[in-house]
Amino acid sequence: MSNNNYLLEEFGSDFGPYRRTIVEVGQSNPNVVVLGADLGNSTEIDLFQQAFPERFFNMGTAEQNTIGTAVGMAFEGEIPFVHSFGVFVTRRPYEQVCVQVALHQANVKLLGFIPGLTSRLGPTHQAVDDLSLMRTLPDMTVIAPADATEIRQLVPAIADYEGPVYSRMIRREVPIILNPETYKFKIGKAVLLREGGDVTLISTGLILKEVLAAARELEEQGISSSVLHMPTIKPFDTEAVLEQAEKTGAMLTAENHLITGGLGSSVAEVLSEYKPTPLYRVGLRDRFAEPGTPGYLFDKYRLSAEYIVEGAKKVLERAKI
Amino acid sequence: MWIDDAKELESVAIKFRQTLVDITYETGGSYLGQALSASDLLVGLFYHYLRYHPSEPDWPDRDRFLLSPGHYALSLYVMLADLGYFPKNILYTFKQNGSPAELATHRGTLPGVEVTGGSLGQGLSLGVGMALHAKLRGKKHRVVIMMSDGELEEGQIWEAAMSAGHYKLGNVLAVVDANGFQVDGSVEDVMNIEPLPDKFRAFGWEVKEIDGHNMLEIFNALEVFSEPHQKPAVIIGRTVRGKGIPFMESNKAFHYTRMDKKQAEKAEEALSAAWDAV
Repeated sequence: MSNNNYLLEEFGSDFGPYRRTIVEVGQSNPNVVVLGADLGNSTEIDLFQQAFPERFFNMGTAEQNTIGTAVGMAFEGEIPFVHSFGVFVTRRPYEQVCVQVALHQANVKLLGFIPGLTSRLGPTHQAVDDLSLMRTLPDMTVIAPADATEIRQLVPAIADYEGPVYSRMIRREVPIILNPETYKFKIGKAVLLREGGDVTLISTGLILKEVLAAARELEEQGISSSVLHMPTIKPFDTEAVLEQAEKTGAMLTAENHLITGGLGSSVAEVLSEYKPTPLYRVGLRDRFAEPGTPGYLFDKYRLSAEYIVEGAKKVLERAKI
Repeated sequence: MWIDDAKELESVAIKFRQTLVDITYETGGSYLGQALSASDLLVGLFYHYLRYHPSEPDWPDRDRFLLSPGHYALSLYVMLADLGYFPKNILYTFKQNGSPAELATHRGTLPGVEVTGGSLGQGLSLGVGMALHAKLRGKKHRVVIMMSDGELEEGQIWEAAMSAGHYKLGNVLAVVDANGFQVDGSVEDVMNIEPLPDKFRAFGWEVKEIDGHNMLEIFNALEVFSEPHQKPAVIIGRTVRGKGIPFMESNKAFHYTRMDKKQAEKAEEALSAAWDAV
């Protein structure tokens, strides 16, 4: 195994990295405006509101109109950042996002908080299909950050990028896994965090911590794994996946999302079209979850490290045949 | 172009209707009934209210005109072509494969088409965003959104109406072409939206209800809202679908209109008679 220097030796944590980053982006870019939907503190835009009250718009619990309003602003040259829980900027105003944001390639940034199984409010609040819904829209860029380092870098990056973006967002206590000195986030680019020869573990978003733990466990069991970190689901870094398929010949995807439509599907599509390779997908399997803490839900729905280890062994078995 | 004389505008509106009929006949069909119901309101807006430069469609200080129901596209195209935004021959390619004059409006296809409206109920939200931008950046232009009564059944419209009221968007003027019909029949039968004036007032709007075919009433209403107010404003124009063509007027069969030669001739006769009467 070789550990490259993108990972911190010791993981830390940061409280509310988005909260500070969006203020900094607002300072450096006067065209950035913030729209909220009655979830100011919950979506970490309260500091922005204090810093730039005139550029802050609370649109209430009316997400369809919020999307339309953001697009109207974008047509006039503003750079609207729209904030809500993941389910409420994707599922609920889906048609508005499709025909106003995506169709016009409007310069609107959608931020979806409490992604996947990180809400205790149950299926109404658990965005387990957001990556899938957004990925299917033409011209939509889709991102899922893994840690605070990535959040600090991706927010200014999407503000500079001209076009529609959906990004999941993690709030409050966020781990710091990636080394801020060496790691460079780039839209559309996968990053190889670990190199190994037997199996490739592909990760997106906050499940990275579990994936890295699984990689360590596999190593102890004598299995050498690569970890390919894919913060961008779309545009998809096809080359990076194919390169790993070539090297290891066995692939696993892990995501805090349904196994359909998100990372797992993206990898499956690429592999089956260009380089058929055994694949195992870790994620929620064609079902809604339930209220619960992330730890409980990750275990119950088999997203945690031990199931990633199990999945890696399964795919290695199949790769031998 | 600015016209102050109501009689002259009535003539313009008849000519406008004649072109709508002609294009509909020549190109094999359109949402003609709706274009005819909105004709007088549109003529009033473009000749007696909106500020724009056809030679500079993106003029930053232009008033924004947002046609929310994209199905009214043909009427906007005819208006824009008439004003010189693009050559009139484009009108005769209406809805043909590859034509920029699509059956429903699509932002970016033709100069002067500000928004995409094929999916109903979204124009007012876009207008709210444009109006908030104008307020934020101290710009003086106005944002005018034309809506149909049928699309007011969409919930998003009322989310948008609430936000325009909340933010006191005095630079917003909505114009409703209330022709009383939608695909399945009369609005009253399908899903009643009345009392509209009370509904808008309850959402914090100023309201003028007028006969949407009476040019003097249109003038007066536009006059009242000629400068930004403290609140958003709406003109509810009571209109007749198919106005000006007796066999079409409020006839349920004409949600979408194809015309044979005989019908086109009859329509032309009715409009010529109206022209003579002005």
